[in-house]
Amino acid sequence: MLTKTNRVWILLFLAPCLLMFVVLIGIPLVNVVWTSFADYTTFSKPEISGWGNYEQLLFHDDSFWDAVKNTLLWVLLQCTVGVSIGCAVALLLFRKPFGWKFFRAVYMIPSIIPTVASGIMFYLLLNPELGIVKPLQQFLGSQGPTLNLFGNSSYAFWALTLTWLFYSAISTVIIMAELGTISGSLLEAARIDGASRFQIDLFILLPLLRNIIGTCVILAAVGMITQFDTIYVTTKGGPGSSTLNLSVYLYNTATLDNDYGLTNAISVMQILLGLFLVLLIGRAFKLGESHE
Amino acid sequence: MLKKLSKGVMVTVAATLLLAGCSSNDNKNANANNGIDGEEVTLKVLNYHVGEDYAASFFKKMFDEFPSSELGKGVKFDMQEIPTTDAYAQKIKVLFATGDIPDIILTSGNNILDLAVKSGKIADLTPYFDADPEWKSSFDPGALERNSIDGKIYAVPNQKEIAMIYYNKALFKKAGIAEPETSFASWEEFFAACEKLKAAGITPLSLDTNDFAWLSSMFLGAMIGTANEEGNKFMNALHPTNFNNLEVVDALKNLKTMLTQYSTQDAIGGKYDPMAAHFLMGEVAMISNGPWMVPDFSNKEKAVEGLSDQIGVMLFPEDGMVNVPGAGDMVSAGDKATTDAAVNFLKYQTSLDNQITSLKMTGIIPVSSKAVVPEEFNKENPLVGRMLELTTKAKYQFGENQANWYQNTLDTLSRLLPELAFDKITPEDFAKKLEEVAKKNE
Repeated sequence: MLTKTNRVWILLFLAPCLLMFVVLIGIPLVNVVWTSFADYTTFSKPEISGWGNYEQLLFHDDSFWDAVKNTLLWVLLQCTVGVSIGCAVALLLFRKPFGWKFFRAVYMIPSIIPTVASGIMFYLLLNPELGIVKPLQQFLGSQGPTLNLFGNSSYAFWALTLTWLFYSAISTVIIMAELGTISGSLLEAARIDGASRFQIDLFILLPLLRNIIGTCVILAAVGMITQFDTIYVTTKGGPGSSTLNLSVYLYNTATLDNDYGLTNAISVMQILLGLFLVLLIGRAFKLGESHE
Repeated sequence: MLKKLSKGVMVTVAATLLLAGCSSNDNKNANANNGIDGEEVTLKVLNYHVGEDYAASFFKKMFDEFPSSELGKGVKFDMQEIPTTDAYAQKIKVLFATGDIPDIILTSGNNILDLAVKSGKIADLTPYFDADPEWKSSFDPGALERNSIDGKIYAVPNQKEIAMIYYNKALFKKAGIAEPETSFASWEEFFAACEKLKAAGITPLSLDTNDFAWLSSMFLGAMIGTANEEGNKFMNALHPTNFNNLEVVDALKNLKTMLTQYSTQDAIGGKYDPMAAHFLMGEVAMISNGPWMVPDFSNKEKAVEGLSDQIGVMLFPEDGMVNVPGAGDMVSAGDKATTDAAVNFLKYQTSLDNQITSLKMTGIIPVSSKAVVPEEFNKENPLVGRMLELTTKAKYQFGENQANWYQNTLDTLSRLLPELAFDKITPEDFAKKLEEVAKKNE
C-alpha cells in the first residue's frame, strides 16, 4: 500500500528523469507542435498560419506520400521478416548447437558496426564498376550491362532493404534472454509427452515469447520509422523518391527547402504514426497481459 | 510504452529541437564592445576550410597572420572547425535559425545571400565600401553587384569561379582525336569525339548524379549556357525558376546520352569522389571542374603517376566556360566594434596581394581583375596559367548551378537524373519538375 512517505520517495526518484524528459523532450516537442502550425523558415521567425503546412503535406505533396509508403513498407518488412529471422536464430541458438557462442558473436557484428560505415560499405560493395555485382554477373554468364542496384529506382528500395533486413541481432539477444527464463521442466514435460522440437517451438516457446516478440516488433517498427543514416549515405532518398522515407524527407525539407514549419509538420505526422503503430502492435500482441 | 516510443523518436525530436527555435541572441555583446583601438575584439568564426579542404592552408595563414597585421591589431579569433562544405552549409542555416551566427560567415558556394538579408541578421557593408574607395575599386562592379541586394552590398566577394574541361592527352591520342585549340567547335564535334573514344575502348566522361551531381551539372550548365542567348541568360540568372524551357529540355536529353552512352557504369547513382577517381586513375578521358582540382593531378595518393603531364584543358564546346564572381563572405549585424573587426579581416583576406597568395596556395582565381598574376606563376602552374589564358578567349560565360540554383532544385536534379537515365522520366517532365520545385522558394 502506498503511504505518504512512499509517494514522496517515488516522486523524488522520478524527479530527475521527469525533469530531463521535460527539458530535453517535452519543451522541444511543444515547440515542434506549435511551429508546425506556423510559417517558419531558416531565416524568419515563426508566424502562425493555421493548418497550411498540414494541408500542403496531405493534399499537395506527392513526396510526402511516397515517404509514408516507403516508411510503412519498411516497418512491415522489419516487423515481420526481420523479427522472424531474429526469433528463428534465437530459437536455433537456444538449443546450443556446436559453435553457438561463436555464431552468436558473429551475428552481432553487423549490429555493432556504425550504420554510416556499413552504409558506405554497401554503397561500394554494390557499385556497378568496383563492387561484387559485375564479377557475380560475369560468373553467372550475363553479358548485359551491370545492374546498378542503388542507381536504378527499380532496385534501390530492395537493395537498401537487404542491407539491414537480415541482421536482427538485437531481437535475437532479447529473445534469447527471455528463453533463458523459461523453466526447463516445462520443456522436459513436453518431451516426455512426445512433442517434437518443432512442436515445442511452435506450441510452447512461441506463445511464451509473445510479450518479448511484441517488444521486438515495437523496437523494429520504431527503428524503421526513424531510419536515416544508411539511406542518407547510400541514396539520399533517391533515385526519384524510391528510397525516400519520413526521416530523410524531414531532413531535406529542413536543409534544402529551409521550411521549418513544414518540417515540424512532418515531425508531428511522424510522431503520430509512431504512436499509432506502437499502440496497434501493443494491442495485437496483448502486451502487458499475462500468459493464459 | 510511451517511454519506448519517446526513445525511438528521439532522433526526430533531437533534429527538430535544433529547428524549433531555442534561440540565444545575446552572445555577440559578450565579444567586445569597443573598436580595435587598443581594446581586444574576439571574432567568432565557423571555419570549414580545415583538414583536407583545398583552401585549409590559405585560411590558416589568414587567421594566423591577420592579428599581427595593421588591420588586425587587437583582434582574436574564437574559432570553431567543421569539416566539409556540406556540413558547414547545413550548420550555418541552423545557426541563422537560432540567431547565434558567427561574426564572419564564410561563403560555402551556395548562395544564401537573399535569405540571409531577409533574416536581418547580417550587416549592410555599403558604408564600409563607401568609406574605403580604394578597396571598393579593387573589385569589378559585377562582383559587387552579385553580392548586393537592392543596391546595398552585403557580402565581400573573394573569388571568381571558373570551370572548363580537363582532358587526358594520352587517351585522346590513343583514340585519334586532335587536341582542340580552345574547344570543340560545336557540341556535335564533342559528341563525335566521345564516340571515337568509346570506339577505342575508352570511357569518354566522368559524370555523377549523387550529392547535387556536380560533374554532370557542369556539362548540363554548359549545354544550356552555350545553346543561345536565352540559355546563356538563364545560366547567368541567380535562383532561376523557369526551367520548363527548350534549352533545359535539350540539355537534359543530351545529358541522358552522356550518362548512358559515354560515362562509367557507376556514374548513375555515383558520388563525386569515386567518379573523379576514374579520371585521376587515367581510366576516363574528360572531366569538367575548376582549377581547385589541379593539385589532385599530381597528388600521388589520388592520381596515377605521371598524370599531371598528360592533362590538357579546354573550354566547353563553342568556347564556353563557367566564369562568375562567387558568393562572398558576410558579416553578422553585431555591435560596431565586432563588425568593424570582421570587415577588416575581409579587407585583409581580399587585398590584391592575398588574392594572389590564394591563387598560389589554392588555385582560387582572384575576383579582382586588378590582381596581377605574376609571370612566374604561369610558368610554375602551366595548367592554371592556360586556364587564365583561355578565360580571355571564351565566347560564352555563365554561372554554375550550385551557386545559382536553389538547393532544393539541385537536390531534385540529383534525384531525378538516374530516373532520366533509366527512362523513367522524360526530359520534358524533368524540366517541369525542376520548375515546380524551384517555385516552392518564391
